[in-house]
Amino acid sequence: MKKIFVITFLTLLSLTGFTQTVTNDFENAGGWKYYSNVCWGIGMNNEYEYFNTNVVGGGFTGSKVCQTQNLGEKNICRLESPWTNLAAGNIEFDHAVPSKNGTRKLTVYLVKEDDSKSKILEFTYTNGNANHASIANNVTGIRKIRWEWTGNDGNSRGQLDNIVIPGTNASDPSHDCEPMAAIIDADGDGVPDTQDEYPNDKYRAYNNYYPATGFGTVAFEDNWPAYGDYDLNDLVMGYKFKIVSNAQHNVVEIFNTMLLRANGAGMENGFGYQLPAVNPGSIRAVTGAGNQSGYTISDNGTETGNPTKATIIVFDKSHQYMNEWNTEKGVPPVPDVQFDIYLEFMKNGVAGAAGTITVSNLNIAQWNPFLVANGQRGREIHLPNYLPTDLADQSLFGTGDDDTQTGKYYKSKTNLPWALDIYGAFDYPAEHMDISQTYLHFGAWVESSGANFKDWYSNTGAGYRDDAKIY
Amino acid sequence: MKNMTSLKSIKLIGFGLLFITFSLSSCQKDVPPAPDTTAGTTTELKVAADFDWKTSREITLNVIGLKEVNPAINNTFYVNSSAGVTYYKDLLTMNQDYTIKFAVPSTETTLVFNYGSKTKTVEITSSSLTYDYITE
Repeated sequence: MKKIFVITFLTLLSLTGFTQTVTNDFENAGGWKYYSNVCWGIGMNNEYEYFNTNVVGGGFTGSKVCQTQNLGEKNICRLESPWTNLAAGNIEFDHAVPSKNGTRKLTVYLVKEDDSKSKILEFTYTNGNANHASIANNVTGIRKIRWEWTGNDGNSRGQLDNIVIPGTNASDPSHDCEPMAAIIDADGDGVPDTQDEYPNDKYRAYNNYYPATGFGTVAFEDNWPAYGDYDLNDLVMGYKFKIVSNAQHNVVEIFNTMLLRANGAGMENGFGYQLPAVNPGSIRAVTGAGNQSGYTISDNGTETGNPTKATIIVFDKSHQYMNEWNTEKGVPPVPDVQFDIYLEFMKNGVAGAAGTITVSNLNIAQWNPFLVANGQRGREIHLPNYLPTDLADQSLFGTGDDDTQTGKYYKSKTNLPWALDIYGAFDYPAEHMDISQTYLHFGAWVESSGANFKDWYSNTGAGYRDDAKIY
Repeated sequence: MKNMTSLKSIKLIGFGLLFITFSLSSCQKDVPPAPDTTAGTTTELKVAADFDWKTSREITLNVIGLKEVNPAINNTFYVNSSAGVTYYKDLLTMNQDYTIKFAVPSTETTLVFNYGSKTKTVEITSSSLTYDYITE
């Protein structure tokens, strides 16, 4: 008995598995526009330019029905299903011409990709009543169902509802509703080769960049908590992130290029950054950093003491990498010093102990760069309103010109910052040249709260900057 | 003879004009460009307490899936600038909802979303935008 039950259950299950259908009851609130985007031929191309089919209130069941425009001698109103991989079974639908005048006829076709068609129903209306059609179908393969109403005069309209077609949807709404094409995907990761930046690597699919092109710039004043001279060149770092992700949206690795461009400071300053959304345990390894004396680094390359947010120390002392300040007029510049930081999040599909993180959740724009002043680990200087790390010396908050308090970080009493993050290249001021007098729209940008001169750091027009004050 | 005199006169006038031009320009002092604010230095700037000092803008994009798309369609979703710079790309399944975060320069005013053959251009009117796959 038990055996029979199991067999019956499995039989029913398998039958259920084979009864896939393409349906439409026209009840979606988006109306014809929605249905045309999911590949129903409702007023969606030139074939219907004179007599658009539409979705209106009323009809058979539910609150909406597909309705043609007025039928007439020269009018053929149509509706088409999406391309369907037809299976054997009954094609069912409800139809009517509610206000029948003159002669009205509905013809239903199966349409092939070459637009050849075969008739499966011809129905002449004798009254305005609703009708249910159930058409036995043994045709398989890619077809559309096409409904065509014809008439000779009057203003009655055809209606259609509750469509059930045996088979599966084979239209691709992302490609103009053409029949789905076979996807070439050499590594089988689900990303078509034409879109996959690693077509033969199932563990990688995409590169995202921040900034989207070139380098961004972070520029610091290092005299915090006291004001400095606002030349914003005590430490100038160029940055670029290339984020590699897989088909499951997860970060696989980050290639971070950091450029030490200037260190116009007497102090020995370090530099690091925090990834606020990343648990240190999500990172398998960090390589490429400079010297990190005075810092405690975990086996995976992140800094210890910040247990919830991954913290990367890029270098401990800038002057050991760049002898010149690269800020003093008359002193020839020395080349930028490049650090190629590599952060491994996944290896052969295996994430770090704390699990994966998606590219979107990483939100690399929220990276939190900071300067460590004069080799004192706790003396962190961050961008305005960016949080200190767990290792910051909070006894310095609110001292000097700083006004850090809950909800306000690394801003002065008059809301001035000690660092700026610039989305793009930045020709920093020369030594002792105040940024407000170097970039001539900087003040207007600030005093308008960013509304005016959003491109103040560019050199796109005359009057943007005083070149004599730029290093 | 008359032509020779005219030529001399023209030369004299030309040299005279050149002399005046050079004289005037040598008298003119170079005026350094000045900031377009009354604040002389950064510490004199009047800064609103809520100014974020950012040159980029973070966008949260809510992607509304087309639930009726079955079987699933997978394609790369691109967030581009009108100049074709890509700010974000990832594989999206057309019948699923997503929340996507990315950043653009503050100077950016429009975004172009591409998914297969579907293209939509939107104005950046706020930091929270919505995308669906419905096109005209």
